[in-house]
Amino acid sequence: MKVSTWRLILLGLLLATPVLTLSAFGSLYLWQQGLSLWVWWPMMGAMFIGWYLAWYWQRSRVLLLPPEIEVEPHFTDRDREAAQRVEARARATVREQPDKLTEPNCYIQSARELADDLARFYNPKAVDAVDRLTVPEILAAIELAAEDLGELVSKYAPGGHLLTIGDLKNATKLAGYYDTGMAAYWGIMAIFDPINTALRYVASQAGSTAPMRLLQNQLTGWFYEAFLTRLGKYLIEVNSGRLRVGARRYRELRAQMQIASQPNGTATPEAADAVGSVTVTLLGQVQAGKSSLVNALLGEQRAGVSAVPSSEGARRYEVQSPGIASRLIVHDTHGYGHEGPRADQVEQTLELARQSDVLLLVLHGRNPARKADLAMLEKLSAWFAARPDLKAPPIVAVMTHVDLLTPAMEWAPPYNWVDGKRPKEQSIRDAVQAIQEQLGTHLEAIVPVNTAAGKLFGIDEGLLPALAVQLSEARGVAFLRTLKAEADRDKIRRTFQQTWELGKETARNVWAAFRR
Amino acid sequence: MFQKWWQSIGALFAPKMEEQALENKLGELRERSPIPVFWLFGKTQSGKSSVVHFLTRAEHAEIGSGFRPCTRHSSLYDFPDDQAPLMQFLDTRGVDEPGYDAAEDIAAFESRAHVMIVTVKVLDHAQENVLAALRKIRTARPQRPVILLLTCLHEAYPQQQHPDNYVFDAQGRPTAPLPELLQQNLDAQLTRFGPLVDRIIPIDLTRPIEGYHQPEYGGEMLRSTLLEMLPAAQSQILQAVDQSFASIHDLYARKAMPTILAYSSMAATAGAVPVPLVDTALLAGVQSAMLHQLAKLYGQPLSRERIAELAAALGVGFVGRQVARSLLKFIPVVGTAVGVVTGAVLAGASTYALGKAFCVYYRAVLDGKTPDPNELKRYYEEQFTQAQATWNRLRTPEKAS
Repeated sequence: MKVSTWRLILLGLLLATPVLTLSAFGSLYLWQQGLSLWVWWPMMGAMFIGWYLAWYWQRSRVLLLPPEIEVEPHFTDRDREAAQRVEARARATVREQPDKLTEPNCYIQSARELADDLARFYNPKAVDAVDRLTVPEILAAIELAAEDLGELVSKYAPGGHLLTIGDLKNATKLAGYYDTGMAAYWGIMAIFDPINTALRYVASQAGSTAPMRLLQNQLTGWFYEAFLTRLGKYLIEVNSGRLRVGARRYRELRAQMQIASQPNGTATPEAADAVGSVTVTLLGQVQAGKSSLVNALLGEQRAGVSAVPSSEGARRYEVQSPGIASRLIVHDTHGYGHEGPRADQVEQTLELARQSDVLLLVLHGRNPARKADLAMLEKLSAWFAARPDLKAPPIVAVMTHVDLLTPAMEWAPPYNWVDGKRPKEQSIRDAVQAIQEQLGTHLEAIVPVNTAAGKLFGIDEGLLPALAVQLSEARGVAFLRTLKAEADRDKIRRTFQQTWELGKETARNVWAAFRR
Repeated sequence: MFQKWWQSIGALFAPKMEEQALENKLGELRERSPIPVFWLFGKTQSGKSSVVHFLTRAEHAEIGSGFRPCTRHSSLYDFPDDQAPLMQFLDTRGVDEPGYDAAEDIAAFESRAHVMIVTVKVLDHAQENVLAALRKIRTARPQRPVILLLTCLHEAYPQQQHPDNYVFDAQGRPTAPLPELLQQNLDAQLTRFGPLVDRIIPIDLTRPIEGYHQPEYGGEMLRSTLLEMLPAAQSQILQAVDQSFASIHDLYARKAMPTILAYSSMAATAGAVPVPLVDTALLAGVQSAMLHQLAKLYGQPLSRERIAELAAALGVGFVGRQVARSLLKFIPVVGTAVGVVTGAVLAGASTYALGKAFCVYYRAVLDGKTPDPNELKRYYEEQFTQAQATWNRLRTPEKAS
């Protein structure tokens, strides 16, 4: 190390000698000729412009894009909040302590602090929140974060696979050599033209040195941010309990999910089996048109359409719809009365809602009494709000019986209800607007449809695309649910497989290594 | 403005009466005037405002904005306005709200509402709240008639016209085969509500834009049922309104008609007071209030000149005759009984004729013509005679009872 440093200095001196010599003699000549003033000032001007541009470009444009934390679609609101904490933390350290970023200790220290912080965020009441996590979970997080980081570095930093901690340190040292070289240069110049040199020195200090530092800091800052956000992501997975299935299984499920999210048909049957079935639950008032909607959705008269309310409970249907790669499972719940859902109806809907990727709230277009629907929506949202580890499914409202809207005698689809001028189009728009005002805060979308046989409207051209849009989101929910179900099942088996003592021993070792 | 107007009116219609005293008297008359009060009961958009429109011909928007809150769950609409109502509609919207308790409305409308009109969409079976409240209301006052309207029939046969004839009997049972869906739902509703109501009328009152050949399908049945169910005096008012709609085609006159009828009814009530001379001042007050209200309807200020012109054209006959009638009441025993009946008729008929003449006069003013005094006087006399005859005829059955 020392030898190579001497060699570097020698090389630098040898290479710099001609330049320095020439500039020294040149300066002497110009001084003797009395031209130094005319030559040095324009040069200083150029330097100043260069400094300004360097500063300006550096300021307005970052050389490396910040490694943003990927917000996974299956993240719940609490997870998203945690991800924001991680990001803010990384940014704050980069901004406030740029000098520390080249020290390996800083990474260990930050990782430990982040782990503590997130554990406390997820378990605010626990005395030592970190102790609640199981060893395999933590190991899985480290494994996944390390893998991710390796991928990231080799992808974005040229030659990154050769990057060592020493390299990072050298990046700082190189900047130091530059400073030393410059000091020597200024020393020589001061002999020939003390006043001008002093002025130029000040300008140079303010100019060219600053961009160099910035570049260096940005590289290390970028690396630090990447490190912390990756680690944060997996710590979030750990704290949410999703890594209980282990790193290998987690990776498999993720891969399956990514395949299943591909547009049309690329999903393998295996992937579809794991997460590819999307579950939709219909809810709504008695006679809002739920059964007819199921029929229209399935394209076959599978649900018994009854003119008067039936006393049967929820029904389950399975469907493969065009435009959606995966299977669709449809639950048709028993409608609630206009006085609001009964306790058992809420219970049933909640049970189905937590299994569902999307909820379809079916609303009768001609019945504006929607207090019952609002009550149901509020109960759903309160239930999910109390369970931050579960992600509430998106809710799409379906407004049925469009044909009964004014003018009632007319049926001449297609209706361009978004901006059409016909009376019926205006009526549909008004009715959608009314729903928006009454229930809009709970809804992702409102789709007007007509489900009467022979008068289908809004299913293929409105509802299915609206569902498809929700599915990238919906699949996130499916993913989360699959993981949770598996973790619960395996928990018992694993308790027997691994002895508790072994677990504690491993935990001690891991944490000792981590905290060192 | 009101004061200025009042002073000019007051100068014309002697004897003078204190403004506040008259205001109180008018309020009293409003209370005692036999106007029909309908209690509308049903869920939002079950067709209540269509019923109001059918009975009053008021614009839908006007009806919507006309309802003022009167209890926690209900609102009140005075037709044509609260100064001189001709009909009143109580609308209970709270029935949609979870935990609606009918007790408050029962207490508030106890003696007020003559008929209860329950509106239920024929396809809407979520009626638990309506049923529960209806049972309570029915128990509280079993003698008050309850009419059930099964509305929005067309929703059971979308994009099809109604049957050519009205195919339901007085209890809402079909007299001809119906579309299957309608038949099923109708049966369910008849079973559900049958024991709780006096009459069931399947009805479909639609706006012209909906495109139905019969926009008032079942309207005649509703009208005849109401005439039958209302107390005699209230029934007369309803009839008078209907007749005026049938015979008047001028838009302004049609709008003015309910106001004229309302004030005539108030005047008749005032005229029925068996105390001499008090009613003359009151009648003058009622009539001038009417003229003011009509002038507002026509969008033309009621100036001193206009009143002078009108008074000159009609002569002061309408007040003079009333004074003579008041003198009749001085004669004890016989005089009072005769005075009450003829006073009421005279007051009502003269107010009615004055209102009508005023409309003709203002129509001419709006058209930029100068009304011919002789023509106007002839018209007034004609209307007066006609109204007097009608009033006398209508009064007869009530007097007999």
